[in-house]
Amino acid sequence: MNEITEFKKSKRDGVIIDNNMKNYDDVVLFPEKLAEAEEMIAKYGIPEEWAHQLAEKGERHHFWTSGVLLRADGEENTFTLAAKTKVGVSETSYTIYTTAELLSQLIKAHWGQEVKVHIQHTVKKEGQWLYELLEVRDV
Amino acid sequence: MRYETYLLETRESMMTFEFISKGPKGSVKKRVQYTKFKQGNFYNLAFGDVNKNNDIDDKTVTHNNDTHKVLATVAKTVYTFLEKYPNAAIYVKGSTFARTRLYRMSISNNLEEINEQFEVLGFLEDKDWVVYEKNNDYSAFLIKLKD
Repeated sequence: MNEITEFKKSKRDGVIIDNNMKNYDDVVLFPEKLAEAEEMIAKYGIPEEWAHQLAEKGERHHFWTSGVLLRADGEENTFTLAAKTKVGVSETSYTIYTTAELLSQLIKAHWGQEVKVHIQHTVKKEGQWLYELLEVRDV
Repeated sequence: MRYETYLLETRESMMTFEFISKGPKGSVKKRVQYTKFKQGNFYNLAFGDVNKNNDIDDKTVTHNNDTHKVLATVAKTVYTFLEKYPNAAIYVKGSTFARTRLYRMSISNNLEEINEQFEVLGFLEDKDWVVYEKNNDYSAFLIKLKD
């Protein structure tokens, strides 16, 4: 017999959990739409407070807007980002959550700029975040 | 929620929800599936009828005279999903212009209630993601829980 749990509280009223239901968790539906959505967020960015909230609570990720990287922190863990922007080469201190290789690829994809990214060291903060300190320089 | 909804079935992961729409066209199985973006804590919401191949058909119009109940049920998956994944943001864009317009009307008609628990962004084509306001022609939406 299937083990079915019916939630009778809060927003889960009328929601039945049945783990025998077919699992689609790893199925990527509508990949073109997904790619378009990722591009919309990458290209146009989202409001800084959204980026801040999602970044603080969520997984390591990054947000771009207007040619610069969002989620600047720079209090303790900083790195130098040199990236070609719409108005030239921007060099600013930021804290970001990504990998050096991915950042290189993103900068190249967005601005056609060949850069080298170096991870200086990583810092674990509050038991869950890996703050990667990066240095980015033009090749 | 002030609308009647269908009974939802899901797995513990709450990435997929199914329900049965009932009306003049009979019982029609519907599925809502969330797919995580490659980057960031974003999830795409896909929704449609389940076709004979057991795939989501997001373009079919069922004509089961239960649009409000179906939309309210989809909205309930949003509540439930974000309760499970409170750090996530959900990306919503209709498969057609008409469906996106339907979503937009639905959000606008319930914006006060939605704003009590959620923050919604709308995408103004070729401009930017902005805080959702009524009477704007958004082409996509992002939804997350309020802090």
